[in-house]
Parts: sequence; C-alpha cells; structure tokens
Amino acid sequence: MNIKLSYNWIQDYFKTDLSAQDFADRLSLVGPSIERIEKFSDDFVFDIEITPNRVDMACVLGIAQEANAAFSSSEGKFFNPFAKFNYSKFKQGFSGLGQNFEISLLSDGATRYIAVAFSGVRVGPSPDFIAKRLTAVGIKTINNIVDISNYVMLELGQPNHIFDLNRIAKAELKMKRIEKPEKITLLDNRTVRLEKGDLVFIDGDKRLVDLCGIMGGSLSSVVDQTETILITVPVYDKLSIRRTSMRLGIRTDAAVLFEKGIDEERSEWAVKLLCDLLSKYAGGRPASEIWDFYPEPYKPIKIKSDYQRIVELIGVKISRDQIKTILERLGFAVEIDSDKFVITVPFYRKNDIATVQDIVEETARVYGYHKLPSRLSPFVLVKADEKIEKVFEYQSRVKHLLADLGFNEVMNYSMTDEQTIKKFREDVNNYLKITVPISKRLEYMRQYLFPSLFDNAVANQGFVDEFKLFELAKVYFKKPLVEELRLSILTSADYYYQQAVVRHIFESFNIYDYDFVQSQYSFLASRQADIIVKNKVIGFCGELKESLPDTKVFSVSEVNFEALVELAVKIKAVKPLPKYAVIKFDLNFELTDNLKFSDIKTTAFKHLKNLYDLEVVDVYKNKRLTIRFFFTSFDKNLTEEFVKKQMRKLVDLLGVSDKFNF
Amino acid sequence: MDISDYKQRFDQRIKQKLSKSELEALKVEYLGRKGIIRQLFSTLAGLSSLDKKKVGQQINEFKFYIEQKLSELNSKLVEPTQEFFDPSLPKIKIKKGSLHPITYAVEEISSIFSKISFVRMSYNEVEWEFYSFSALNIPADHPARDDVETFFLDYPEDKKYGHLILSPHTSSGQVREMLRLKQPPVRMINIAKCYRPNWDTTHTPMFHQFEGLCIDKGINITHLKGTIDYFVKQYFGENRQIRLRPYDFRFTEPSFEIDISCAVCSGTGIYNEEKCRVCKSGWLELGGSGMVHPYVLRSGGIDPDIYSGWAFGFGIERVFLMKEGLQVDDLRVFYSGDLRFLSEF
Repeated sequence: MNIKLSYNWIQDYFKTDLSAQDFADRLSLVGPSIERIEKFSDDFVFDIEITPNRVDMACVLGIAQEANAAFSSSEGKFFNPFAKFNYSKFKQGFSGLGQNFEISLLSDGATRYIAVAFSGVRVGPSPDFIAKRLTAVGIKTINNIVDISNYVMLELGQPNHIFDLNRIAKAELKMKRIEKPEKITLLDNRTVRLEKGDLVFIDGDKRLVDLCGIMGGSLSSVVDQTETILITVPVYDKLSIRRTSMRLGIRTDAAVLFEKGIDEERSEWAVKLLCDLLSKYAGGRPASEIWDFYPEPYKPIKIKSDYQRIVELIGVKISRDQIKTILERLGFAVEIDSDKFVITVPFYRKNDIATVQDIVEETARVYGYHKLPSRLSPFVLVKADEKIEKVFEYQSRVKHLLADLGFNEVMNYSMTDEQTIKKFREDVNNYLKITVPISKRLEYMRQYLFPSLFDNAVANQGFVDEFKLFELAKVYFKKPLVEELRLSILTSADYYYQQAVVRHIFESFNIYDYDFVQSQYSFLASRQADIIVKNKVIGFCGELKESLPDTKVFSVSEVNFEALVELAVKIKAVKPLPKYAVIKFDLNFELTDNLKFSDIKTTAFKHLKNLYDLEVVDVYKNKRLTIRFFFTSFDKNLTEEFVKKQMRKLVDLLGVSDKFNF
Repeated sequence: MDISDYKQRFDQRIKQKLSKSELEALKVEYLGRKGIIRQLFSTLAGLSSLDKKKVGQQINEFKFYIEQKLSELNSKLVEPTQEFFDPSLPKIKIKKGSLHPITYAVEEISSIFSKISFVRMSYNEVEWEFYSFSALNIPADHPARDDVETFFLDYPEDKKYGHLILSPHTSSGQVREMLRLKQPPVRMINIAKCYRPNWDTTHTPMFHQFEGLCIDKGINITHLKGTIDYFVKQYFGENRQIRLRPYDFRFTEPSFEIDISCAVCSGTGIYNEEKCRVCKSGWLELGGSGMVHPYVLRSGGIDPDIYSGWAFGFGIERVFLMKEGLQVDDLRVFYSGDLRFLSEF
C-alpha cells in the first residue's frame, strides 16, 4: 500500500533540519520507501510505499519512529507519545460521567473497541493547520468532526469512527454478521448490497448504521445539526474486513489499515488525541466514561537470541553495543548477558517480529545494507537431474535448428477457450478449468499446442505469405494429472514438408528408427499419421481441415518432446566406411495401400544381405518412386549378380515380383 | 639451342599480355604431345648415361618452370563477363527464422548461473497450494491466496496439499528442490512460466520468472548480495551497481527489493539536464529477494539452526526489457503471436 504524508506533520514527532530530499533518500534505504516528493506551499508531500508487514508505520508517527532509527540523535529528535502517557490515569479522568449508550460486540468481530460520548459539539470548519495538512495529502475537508477523525487516523494509523449519538435509535449499537443479503446506504450516499458474513452495527431499531471498518452508514452520520457524538476506536477482525472490502471494491484507508492487522495499543493514544482535538476545535466535552472492550490485553513479546548467530546471518561482525543501539532506537528493549540477547518487542511490532531472523533484518537494515560486502556463494558441486538437463539441452538445440530452417518461435498462453476445444472435437470436461477465469478466452488448460499456432496464423493473415511456426511448451492433463512438454510445428505447406521437418529433427537427434503410420484424428484431414519411434507413438503429423482464404493447406505436427529427447543419442555409433566397391541399384516402385515405403525399407534392412543404405531419389505424384539401394561387403567385392539376387528376394518378399523383370 | 635459350624465349613470350586462347596455344606449343618439351626429351637418346641424367633433370626443371608460370598466368586471367550480372541483386530468398525473445533471455541467464555451479531445474506449473503457499509460510488467509490474486483450478481438494492452482511464482520450486536433494548444499536456478490474474499493458496472465536458491552452512546476506551483483554485472554490464532496500515477503526474512543503477542516466537520475524518464532517481527495480525463512527451510526438511540460505525471484520479461533498453508499450505483445514483432528477434 502507498500512503501520502506531509513532511511538516512528520516534524511534530521527529524534529530535524534535514532537507526533504535527504530525509527521503536516506530513509528509503533503511525502511519505508519514499517513492515521490511533491512540493505543497511551504511543505513537502511524500508518497510512501508501506510493505504489508509494516502497517504500523502507515502514519505520521510510524514514519517518525523509523526516522529515529535511520538518523543519529544529532540529526533529529524523536517525540515518543507513549513514553509518559498513562492510559488508566487518563481513563479515570472520565469516571463519574456514567454511560449513555449501549454497545454489544461479537467476540470474533473485534479485538478491541473503545467508545466515549461527547456532547455540546458545534459542527463547523476545521482549523487551518488541520485543513491544510489534510489537503496536502489529498483528503477533502468536510467539517471539523470528520476532519479530526481523519487527522487522527493519519497521525497514528488508527482508524476511528464518529457517530451522531442522537441518530442511533435508543443509543444502542449491536454488532452482527449479515445473514441474508441486505442493503445499506453509506456515508457517501451510495447503496451497497451486503452478503452473509459481513460485519455491521445495527441500532436499537435494528437499522444498519455502520459497515464495520469500511465506512459508516448515512443513517447515523454526523450532520450539520449534530450536537452529541459517539467516538469509537475499534480494532476489527482483519479477515472479515478484507473479504467485505474486496468484494464490494470499497478500499477506504480504514479498510486497508484494518485488513493488514493493526495493534490494539495505539488506540489508547488515539482516544486521547480525539478527545483533545474535539474539545479544542469542536467545543465538545466528555459526556460519558470511557467504555473499553479489550478481552486479551497485550503482553510484551520477548525474543532470546544468540549474538554469534545474529552476526553470522548478517555476514559482518557488528558489535554488541551497536546492535543494542540500533534496536533501542527502533523501540526494542535489549538486555545483554555476554552472548545472550533478550529483546523485548515494542507493541506496534507485535505482528511482525518473532524470530532471530527478524532481529537480523532490523539490525542489518539500520546498519546499512550498502555497507555489507559482496561475496559469491561458495562453490560446491550439486548433482543435477540428468533427465531434466538433457531435456534443456535438446530444447535449446531444436529451437535453434528450427529457427535456422526459417521457423518463427511463438509463445502462447497455456490457457485456451471452450470454442477452440470444441472446434478440435474435444470434450471440455476432460480439461483442467480455471474456477475464476479473467477471460473466457483463457479458461481451460491446453492439451494441444497446434490450435494456438493455427490462431497465430489467423491473426497474422496478410502480414506474412508463408507460415513456419513452432512452439515448445507444456500441456496439462486432468486424468491423470500430468504435465507434458510438447513440440508443435505449423507450416503453410503440405503433409510431406511437415513430415520432412519432423524427420530432419529426428535425424539431427540421431533417431533413425521412426515410422509414419496412417491415423484417424478427427481434427486432421486425410493426410495424417501417427509418428512412431521405436514402436511407440510419440505424436502426430498431418494436414488440418481448417484453411484460410490465402492459405489452402496447413500442416501441423505435435510430439511429446520429453519422450523424443529420451530416445535422442548425442553421438551415434560410427558406421564403418565401405572398404570395397559400393554397388548401386535403382528400382521403381508403385506404392499401394498394401505396399508402403516403410514396408519396403523395413523388409529391405531386415532381409537383404550386405545392404548398406537406401535412399529415395525420385517421387512422382506421391505414388511412384525410385529407390536407390547401396550394397557393399567388408570382406570382398560384390558381384552384380549377387545384388540382383538380393533385389529379387526383396520384390518376392514384398509380393510384387510380377511387376519386375531383371 | 641450349635449354637456357629456350627458357629465354619462353620468358620473352610471356612478357606480352596473353589472352586465354593465346595462353592455351602456348601451353600446347611447349607441353603438348608434339611440344618443345617432348622434343627436348627426344634429344636425350644420343647422350651418355651421365649426361642423360643431367640434361634430363634440366629439362624436367624447365618443364616444371613452364607449368608453374602458365598456371600463374592462367589464374591472373580475368574472364570477360558473358551476360548481364548485378552482384547486388537478391534473387533468392532464404526465410530467416526467429526465436522468441524469452528464449534468448532464458539461455543467457542459465549460462550465467551454470558458470557458478547453479543447477537449472524445472518444476510443475500446475501446482498444489502447499508448495506455492503453505510450505512458503503463506497462511491460508493470506490475500495472495485469494482467487483474485491466484488462478485456482476446478479439481478435488487434496487433504494434505490443498487446492490445485497455477503457480503464481517460481518459489514453489524452493521446497521441491530441498526435498529432491534431501540435504544441503542447494544451488538452484529454476526458470518457469508463472500465472496471475492480471491482464493489462504492464501485466500478462502468464509470464516467466527465474528463481535462485542457495542453502548451505554459513550462508548470509553478503552471499546474496555478491551473487546478485555477479549476475547483474554479467547480464547488464560491468558498470551496473545494485542496492538492497528493505522489503517484505512471507518466505524470506530479511527480505529485500533489489534495484540496479540506471544505464540511461548512469545512476544519477539526471539525463540531458532533465529528470531521467527511465528510472526513479537513478535506480530501477529488479525484483524481490531475501534470506530463506526458517519456516520454509523446515518445510523442506532442513534445520534452520544449522543451515541458512538466500533466494530471489525475478521476472524474465522485465530483465529482458531492462537489458535491451527496449521500449515495449504493451507487454502483451510477447504472447500475442504477432509475427511482425517476433521476427525482429
């Protein structure tokens, strides 16, 4: 969260001659980060980032407390309001005034609640210094009562609410949680719908008068005629406030402070300040005793810590005295017995300090992170997961290989939409679904990459005339729950080009034992195949049914990349070079449903003696082809008659000997 | 005629500028089947065996001399152009491919950390609440665990691990890596996709992070500072500085925000006598880091009284843009699949 505060105001608690810029720069390195400084007449306004654990410093006092640690005593003087303040004595000052209101609370709704009535107030304009300071930090002045309430919140970080006591029916406030949806009209006149669990106050006529911790209701708000008020200083249950505030989208300063969890002690000083300012600037006087609900009073937290451990974790030997001074200036009490430290945590840090690591942070940041040396972490050998390492290596190789072939790598969102899933004839119920998607376009986790690549082609129509895209990413399955790394390729060329790219990848990974077998995927056109490596289907390849006006054919492939990498071989066993003459023999085949290229290849390698290699040298109409066979022996020169015999054996085995005559 | 006379004559002949065909004719005249060299050899028959050897050697030397000269001249010949030729004409197009900018960044980051013995790992993106939150000291009521901050998946809740989510950060790999190794030392760099429900010009619902994790005996803040300083100098350049600012993360204690000095204004905050537009008074935010919280070490089965460690998690899109000084107005372009953008890389 960010908060705006005035530098003059901070000076009330930390008196210093430092320039606003110096103050901001140096404080930012030690504690709260002052992100911007703006001049406002004779004042400066700081825009300060407050981390969620340090809501205690989201106020003038909190920044002054930090400044006290960040700067030396010669640079500034800190005024600690709690040092001499005696709350019970202050409270006694109200005794005998009786009680003219009734409050009942829920035990899980608030951890502290202080209330006191004031009568004889006159609503009017605020004094100049209050109006000016509020205006400086961007808060609109309304009237003296409302302004004082806001002023105290900014000064002490303690939200509070002031009711018109006469507008609360029967002077009764009862805290409750909403059961059935109900409407409330807030101070700013907007009406919102409350839902089950929301924390509210109702009055003696059961009317909703306050939306706890977020905003007061208009029914009980201070108006021009107000004379009697009820000052309330609550500490609400942070979760209830957050839930309601987030759901309604009403992010008041009070709500933001409450939901971060403020301490219950500062409310005492807040009540005093409210009483002082109201009697001074609104002419009121106390009309009741101080009513204080505080079932579990604060007990100081003590941390025992070892000096050696503190300096070991910081990495620099800061002296015991220096640590003590730093902690004391931050408000901690420190007792040292040789290496043993007993550190008492100030009440305003009770929610964020608990361990020796917290003490390390407090010490090191005030000492100055910039003073710490830089050291590389000591070198050690940690064993990598070999399988994952291999995947990373080949991932990089395949990406560069495809880019070198003219492909563009794309990265798409891992989520897809229902329409796409249905377009490719899949059942959405088998897909992992995001419960609260930010867009219908990103609702389901992808199980295929190629539909995204097709979307990319659609989106880029007209910009490019040739598509060569690829993506390497995970897909996510529900049953069973697994992630799979996939490589998908899309081209605006036909099946044979796609298949050639896939083969090229395989062969550059030294995988030769592959096959393409006719498949039946409903999202692909008739030219499609399962990609088989070592008898395992690891993907598919085919032409899409979809096309675009400028691109008639799209072919895609998608393979399980991890399965592929597992089969990849870095350096294959070297094939011995032929010693004797290599005899080539060309043969023309006509492919049929019963005679596929892969049949010829498999049969040839399995049954022919001295076959060294074969390659396709010519293809006509995807059906007729010339295959060149290479024969050689490592013992002697082969005769042409021997080769012919082998070839006759091949055509016999393939059952096509009637078509040949050699 | 003596061989030296022949040589003199030959030298005379080649002093003139000869065309390709003249050179060819000269070759035939000297080295051809009926050429001078052959003729010279034929004179050997009448000589004594001693002279034969001597003269034969001279003829051979002369022959070698001719061959060398002719080949020199031949290589110096410039062939006249036969047809119109414009060497600058780009007649054939070889399509240039491209890698996604994130790929370049990932490769560079991995290599920088592998030099200092950090192991690259990869963990699930569809993750349990336990690893992304509970194990990292982020309690069930923490705002980060709201469905407005994290994507939850429609899947049965697990008794031990909670709901299934899309990991909002790479930190979920911290405890997984501790459990994989069973005991320190840990030196990990985890690079992965992360997901959060924000979609505007500065946020994409999917983005990349890299996470560094180092756990050992005696690890302290100075090691975190030194390692990040090393990375920054390798990735961004020798002259870049870092600073640590106090921050708050649930899974580190102390926690820091890391800033690096701005390259545009050299860390001064002033550029061309005006306020630098790229940075905040000389510094740019790099990301979050800190000393691993004792709770997190315990989640990973590591005793925080014996071991300590540091961790950081930075956004890859961010460091990539910061390094290249690229002005990308809309971060969504990374995942738009716009080929006009992608083919620039």
